[in-house]
This record gives sequence, structure tokens and C-alpha cells, in this order.
Amino acid sequence: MSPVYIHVVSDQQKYIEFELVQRAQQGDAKAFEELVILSDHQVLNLAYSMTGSLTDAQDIYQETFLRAFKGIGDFRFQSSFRTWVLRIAVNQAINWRKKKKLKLFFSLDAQNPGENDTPFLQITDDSDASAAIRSGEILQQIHAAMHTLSSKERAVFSLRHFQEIKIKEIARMLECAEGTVKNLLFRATQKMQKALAHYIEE
Amino acid sequence: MSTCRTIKEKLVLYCYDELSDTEQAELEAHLKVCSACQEELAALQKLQADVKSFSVSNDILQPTRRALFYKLRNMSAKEQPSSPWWNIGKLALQAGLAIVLVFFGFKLGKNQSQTGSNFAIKDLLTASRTISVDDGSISPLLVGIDKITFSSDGAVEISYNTLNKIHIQGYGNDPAIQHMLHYALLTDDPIARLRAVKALEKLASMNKKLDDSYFTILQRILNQETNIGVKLTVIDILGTVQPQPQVQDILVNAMLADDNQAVRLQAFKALLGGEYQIAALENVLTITKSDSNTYIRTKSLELLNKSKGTSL
Ligand SMILES: [Zn+2]
Repeated sequence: MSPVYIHVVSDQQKYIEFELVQRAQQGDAKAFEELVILSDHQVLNLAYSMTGSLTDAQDIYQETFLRAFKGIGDFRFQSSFRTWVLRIAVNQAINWRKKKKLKLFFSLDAQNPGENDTPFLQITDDSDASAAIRSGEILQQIHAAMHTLSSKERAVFSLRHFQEIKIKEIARMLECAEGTVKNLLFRATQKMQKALAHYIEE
Repeated sequence: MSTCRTIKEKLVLYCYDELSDTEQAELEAHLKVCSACQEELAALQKLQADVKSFSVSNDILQPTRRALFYKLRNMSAKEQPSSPWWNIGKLALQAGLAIVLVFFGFKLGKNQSQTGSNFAIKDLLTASRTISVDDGSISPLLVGIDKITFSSDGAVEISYNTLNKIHIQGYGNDPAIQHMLHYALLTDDPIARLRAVKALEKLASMNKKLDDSYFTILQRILNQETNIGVKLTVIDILGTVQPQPQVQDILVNAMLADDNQAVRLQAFKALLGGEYQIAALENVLTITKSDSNTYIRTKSLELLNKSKGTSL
């Protein structure tokens, strides 16, 4: 019987990733781009939720993947590629905060975060116009509330709440105990509640 | 109530679905009788509803990504035009019926707690696999590999045990063939695995080198395989390819850690035959000089003495 034309389609995310990483490690730039596409929306979202500024988020995004590109040779499959780049992004975002802390402290950013950014955002489930306006307001409130968190609390809250990553994975990402992550999440939630209390009451 | 404080912490975890079944049952029992905690839960749920997930729009993501790719392309000194692995044009032989191979069934999340290396490989092994033919019906199950053959010019043909014989042909360095061989090496079908390592052995002896992607898999086989024949073949493969640090590491591991004498001996011989620097192996030899295998023991001592002699 004659051989047939075979077309391989794989939706095994993990296996695709495994092969892409190996090719990227051998210097295949296209494979690295594929890896970026698999993970970059989440990286950008994380950076945005942690900084409240789109330009900062874009800078962190670029820095994260440039680091990943340079360091891909050291990737040893001890986590997924996504976890690995998110870890880089979180650390970037935390350091970013430290760098910008003084500036932020004296600027109005905290009171009026990301004013120009709001129109670019998609609120996931609001459709009508008045809801959209309300969402814009909520976003500003949320960013302001996020500024009341410590950088670690913000990292944990962003990862668990916005990125929906499980505590176990976050603990590995931040290289700390699960109990620590739980504590940070608890404190972050309390602070968020407090910061948003006046708004949510309305 | 004295437990309310601890409950308060657990409520947050409850909202994020992060409690164990017992903890959840305990908490729900408490909620039934404590109105203060009910209030607290309602407030948390309100927070969750108000602070919704949002995502940066695609209109922002796309130019951000383009800027990154532009930078990356400038960074990588040389472009390596290589076909993506799903492009199997190269091994297209006769366009008859198009068969779509779909692998699925990953238990995502299930194994995520496990650290350790080869995370991706571990998950791959839990995958179930089915083939669907072009009309979409999931028909012949991929029961295994019937045979793997080589032609003298280095072409590989993998035949599957399917109802309507499927053959995949291509050159050993073709990404698609590598993909299928990786899969065959990792399958839990012991016969297919044996055939895959035998195939790889021929590929290795023909080319004297192997794509790096195989080495992680070969290390894994040495760690987990129960068939001694498969293990010994893996050692032979590693002894055939050009000496390199990654291969040396795997061989040293096998020599030091394998339970089976024959495997240790084979790895020992592969290292000695592979022009590895004896000086670099000195630490290893001080361990193997007390191996339970006589040959390994005496040869290690002899080499150690020789190496001492030359350095003096
Ligand atoms: Zn209570």
C-alpha cells in the first residue's frame, strides 16, 4: 500500500512548547517568536495590572522577552515556559516599581492613574455605553487601590486575581512558600476592600 | 466566635477556590451558623465582581509584539530559515487522503505540582492519542509503530499499525520525522519504544551525530526504562555520537547510578571508547574503582594510576 500524505496537527500545548523551546535553544529565532505569541498577552496584562500604566507595561513586556531570549539556553524545563516568563515579568514589574517609586510618590499618578490608557482597554463583559463609562471609572479606582498594595502583594493579587494562576504555581514563580502567597493574597484583598470601600458603597 | 478570625483568612481562599475539600466543608459548616462570616463572604464576592479581570486590547498588543520582534530580529546575528515543525511538506509523498493526527488528552494542572526536570516529557506520556481521518471521523486508533526502516541514503520510514497502513517518510534531520521519533521514544508501548531506539541507533551510526533534542529523551529513558535491551541500545547510541559534554554527563550518570551492572559496564566502555579526557573523569574513577563489577573496578584503578603517572 502506498504511503499517504500526513498532516500533523497537535493541540498538545506542552509538546508544542517542548519542541519550540528546544529549537529556540538551538538558535531558531522563529521558534522563539512562536513562544512569545503563546505567552505574551498574559505578560502584557500582568505588567499592566501591576503598573497601571500602558507605557510601563510595554517596557516591561519588551524587557521580559529580551531577557528570556538571552536566557533561553538556561531554561531546563523545570516549569512551563509561560511560568518562566511570567516570573521574569513579575520581577521586572517589582523592580520597575522600585525605580519609579520616588517619581510616583510625588506625581499625581496614584490619584489619577493611567488616564490616557483607559480608552485602550477592553472590559471583558460590559457592553453598553454607560456601563463602559462606569467601567472606566472603576478601572481608575482599581489602579488607585492597587497602588496601596506593597509590590509583593500586588504581584500576588495580579497573578491570582487577574491572571487566574493558582497559588501553588505562584509560589513556585516567586520562589516562596504557599503559605506566604496565601498571606499576601489575604492582605492584598483586605487592602483592596478598604481602598475600594467608598466606591463600592455607592 | 473564636474561629472567625481564621475563617476570615480562609474565606479569601474560598473565593479563589483554593481550599482543600475538608477545609471547604469546615468553612461551609461555619458559614451556616455565623452571620458575621456570611456578611464577610458577601463583601468579598462583591469585590470579586467589581474588580473584574481586564485585558489589554489586541490593538495594543499587536504593535507591542511587532516592536519586540523587530528588536529580536536585529539581535539575532543570523537568520536561520527553518521550516516550522508542522510543515510536513518535505515528507509529502503522495497526496491521497489527508490524515490528521491529533494528540490530545493532556491532564493540564494535574501534574503541575511536580517539579523536577522534564516536565514537558512527563505530561506527554500521560497523553492519549487518536487519529482522525480527513472526513473527521475518529477512526483507526494509533495502536503503535509497526516498523521503522532506513534506506542507505538516510531516509526514515515509520509505519503505523493502523487499519489503512500509514507510513511517514522523510530524512532523519527533518523536524517532522524528529517529532514522530520523539513521540515513539516516549510512548508507553514497550515494543514501539524498542523499535524507536533501534531506529535511532541506525540514524546515529549513519550520521555520527544526533539532534540535541534527543539527549533529554535518552536521559529519561535511562532513568525509567525497564527493558535492559533498550537501555543498552541507548548507551550504544551515546557511544556512537561524537563526544560532547551533554553526552558525557549522561554516560557518567549511567555509570555511577544505574542498578544494572551491564548498563554500568557498557557506559564505562562507551566513555573510554569515546575519546573523553580521562583527567576530566578522575573524580568519577575514584568512585567506580569500588564498583561491584570486577572489570570496572580494575580498569578504573588502572586508569587512575596511569593518569597519576602522567601528571607526575
Ligand atoms: Zn464566623
